[in-house]
Amino acid sequence: MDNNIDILFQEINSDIPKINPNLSAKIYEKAVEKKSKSIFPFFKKPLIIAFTSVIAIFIVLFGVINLGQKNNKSNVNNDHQDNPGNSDVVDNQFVPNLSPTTQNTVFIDYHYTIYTQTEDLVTLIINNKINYQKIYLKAYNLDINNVKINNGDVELKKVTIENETFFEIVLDNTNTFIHYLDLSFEKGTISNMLKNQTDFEINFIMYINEVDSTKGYGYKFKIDNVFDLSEGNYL
Amino acid sequence: MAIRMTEEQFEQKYLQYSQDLFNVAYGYTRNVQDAEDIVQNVFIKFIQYDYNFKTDNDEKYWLIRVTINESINFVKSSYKKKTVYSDEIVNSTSDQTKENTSKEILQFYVEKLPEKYKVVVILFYYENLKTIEISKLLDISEAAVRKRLERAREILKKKMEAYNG
Repeated sequence: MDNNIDILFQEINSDIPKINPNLSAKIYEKAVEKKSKSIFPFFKKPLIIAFTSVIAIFIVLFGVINLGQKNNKSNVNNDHQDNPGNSDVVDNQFVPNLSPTTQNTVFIDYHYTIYTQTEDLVTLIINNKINYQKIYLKAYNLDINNVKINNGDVELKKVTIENETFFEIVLDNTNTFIHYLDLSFEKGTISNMLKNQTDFEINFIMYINEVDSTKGYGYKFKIDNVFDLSEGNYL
Repeated sequence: MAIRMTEEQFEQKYLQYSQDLFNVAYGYTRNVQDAEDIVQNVFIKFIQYDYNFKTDNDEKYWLIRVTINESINFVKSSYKKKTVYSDEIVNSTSDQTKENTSKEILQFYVEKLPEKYKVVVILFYYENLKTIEISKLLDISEAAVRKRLERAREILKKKMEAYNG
């Protein structure tokens, strides 16, 4: 039967169809199109800048007025406490005071997890559409041992800000919008947790350019693509 | 920000790798259109990723790894549909089913293998990679690759024997 299986596989292999050789131009066109969509076309730039400026002025004016009103209130009633949470942020309950704006948006396409012989890796694919220079990252419920980005070819250091340790990741914006962040965890960290839970989540906090608790982004990642590349681990 | 790779350079890469990636994707999906879609997604990421790989092997292994990931994502997203379809093939007693060849049944059981075995079988039999190459690609020892292949063959053998009665 072993031989039979090998013979069957040989037949299956020879039956595999050939890929369309003419797809390359179409794929290239799509890639260019995708990439160009991630930046504003030059001719629209002045319009967008003008529009954004008007919105920004309104936001600032609203903030000043709002602040003035709060000050007035606190003058009247010293017991008044502002609500520290931000109810607009649905998925970020684990990090208070987050206020995502279009200026802070980082898109994460998808992620996957790989178990190797030495470590558990979670790879995040970040679509950095607006050219940020730095990302500050930490996981809330797990310790990240190390972060590699685009196979390690990046400046990376740990920084402690307000008693919290972040990975400071300097993005290389000259080459690509897509960044592959390999988060390395101690061997067994994730695989052990997944043994009992299929819906295991990692909570990340990500700050853009500077650690500012009013501008952070919280992400909950549900690990749903698991690749076991090490001997002895079962999915 | 422009794409650095020219269309001609990409065409060369496409000719070099597309059939290999297609074989892997086809091993997972068993559908030409789906496999082509997966390969397309992989190449789009490849162009956008735009990373300078140190060696051709690094580049090839990266592409295959992403193809495996994309294929698994795809299969998971269409899992229910495929399962119903595939189960009908094996369990049905209709005349049409009886005409199913052993090859189709074997492919069905490959699809049902645990991922750790399936990926090795697909790389070995569909992609024609050597065990040493698979070990580098999956970051496991060559002995582990052989062991998994052996175990996968055992599982498939039992399944095929049970099917053939």
